[in-house]
Amino acid sequence: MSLPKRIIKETERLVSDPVPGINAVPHEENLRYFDVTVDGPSQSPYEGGVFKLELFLPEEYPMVAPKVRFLTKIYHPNIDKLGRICLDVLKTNWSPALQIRTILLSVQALLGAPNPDDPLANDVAQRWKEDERAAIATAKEWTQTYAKPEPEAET
Amino acid sequence: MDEQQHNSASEQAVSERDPDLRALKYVMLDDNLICPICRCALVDPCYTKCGHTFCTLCLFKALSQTPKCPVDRSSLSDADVLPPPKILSNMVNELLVHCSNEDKGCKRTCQRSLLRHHLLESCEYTPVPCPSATCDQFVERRYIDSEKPARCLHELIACRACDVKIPEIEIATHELVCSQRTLKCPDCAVVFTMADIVSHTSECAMARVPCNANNIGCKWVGIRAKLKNHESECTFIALAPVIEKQEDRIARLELENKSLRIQPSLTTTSGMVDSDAFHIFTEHERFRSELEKVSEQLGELEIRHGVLIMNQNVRLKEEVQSMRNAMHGIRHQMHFLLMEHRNWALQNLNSSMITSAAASLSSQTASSSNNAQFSGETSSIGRGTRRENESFRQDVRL
Ligand SMILES: [Zn+2]
Ligand SMILES: [Zn+2]
Ligand SMILES: [Zn+2]
Ligand SMILES: [Zn+2]
Ligand SMILES: [Zn+2]
Ligand SMILES: [Zn+2]
Ligand SMILES: [Zn+2]
Repeated sequence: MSLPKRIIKETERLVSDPVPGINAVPHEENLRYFDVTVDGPSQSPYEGGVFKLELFLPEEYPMVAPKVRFLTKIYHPNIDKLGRICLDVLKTNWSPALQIRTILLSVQALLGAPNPDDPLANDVAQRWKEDERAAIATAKEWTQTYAKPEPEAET
Repeated sequence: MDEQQHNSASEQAVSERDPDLRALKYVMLDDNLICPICRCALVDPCYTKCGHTFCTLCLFKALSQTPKCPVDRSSLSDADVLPPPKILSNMVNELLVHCSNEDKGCKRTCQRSLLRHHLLESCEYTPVPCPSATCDQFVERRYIDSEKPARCLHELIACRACDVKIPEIEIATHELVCSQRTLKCPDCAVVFTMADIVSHTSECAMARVPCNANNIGCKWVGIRAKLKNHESECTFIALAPVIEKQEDRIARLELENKSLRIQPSLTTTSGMVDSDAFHIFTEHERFRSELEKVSEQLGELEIRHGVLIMNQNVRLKEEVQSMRNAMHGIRHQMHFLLMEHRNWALQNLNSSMITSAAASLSSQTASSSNNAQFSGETSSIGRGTRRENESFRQDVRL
């Protein structure tokens, strides 16, 4: 099965014209599998953190959305313990006109705008609604502990 | 091994009949002719009622998953997909492409719609059946000579250098790269294999080389074996460091000279050499030369800056265009959502009015709580809209 031209083009552009604060590199032995890092947006509890994700393009891509999951532990109402993300464009609102870069930007935007009313991690969302200040403090703490840039990155 | 070769050759023959238009290299490609789904030049384009263009195949695949336009998400059924304007079909059919056998050596470019014909009928690099009636393998068209009697071009011949057996049509290319092929060094006449000749030429004792000081005037040229000997007695080599220093000094002196040349005019007018004035003049000259240097650098900087701005401009222009397209999409989206929202709100208002009319006799608090609930729900819709907008704004940035 050869790689569709579209995936090749998207990969080339990700490398030649990277999105600021987002890095995506395909595996050499499987070009549909990407190692991704996303910088926490400034003025969010995730500022200063570098979050690792994995992104996989299923056989049917772009007819179905890429599969994206956080590998770094993160305290966020829309991201659960397993790193799964609750994001409409990854599910019902996927469109084949969207791209890897669009999706990663949406993920980064989600870090900047947590939405406890549309939760995936229920206990986190609950706490976020009850005591936002404490929840944000925990999110900052987790960022410091698990999302430090460079060596001791969490897997 | 042979079986495999044979298979790939006939597979190739199939791809000539039906070349993959998305894998082609285009001479030039306008962004407006790129399909938003496969991101390649449109193939067999179609047009939607919302004004977007896709490859027909790409769009129907997408619609079978979700019956919405992939760009603006307005609902779309198969009936809303129209044939493209004639001009669009012409534009994509006339796109110039490189022959898909370019990597084999074909230099041809042609209109996309003519490529199939070129591959099938004339491309020198298209595999065609071997002329021999008994052979079922393929050879590139360029090997076939219709003047000569038909014979198989796959008979194995031993390479004269490495003795490996190779099909006749490949022997010429093999011999060019065969690592065991031997070459005679033109200088020392010793015979080397291809693998060794490169390193030999950079050290062959019999090769003719110039003296290392030829840039400062030594005219000596001789075989490499005698170079050391020459350099040990070459005056230019010995002088090289000194000459370099001298050149430096000359440059400095020339500058000083220039400032001194102004000096006499001073003496003739005032009649005496004022040491202060002299000092001022040399300073002045120094400043002037520095100013020259700075303005030179400034000019260079300006040019570089200009190029930078131009590059950026081109990019920005592209971005503006894509933004404009995306904006168009958003406008549709917004309109759709607003209408949805208004319909929904109207419906709710109606029902709540009926309820409140019915309940007005019993109590007024009931209707006010109803209203509170209503406003709560609208705000959650508002949030949904905002989020949707957010994801579209992301699209726009691309
Ligand atoms: Zn397409
Ligand atoms: Zn549309
Ligand atoms: Zn050709
Ligand atoms: Zn043959
Ligand atoms: Zn050989
Ligand atoms: Zn030699
Ligand atoms: Zn010399």
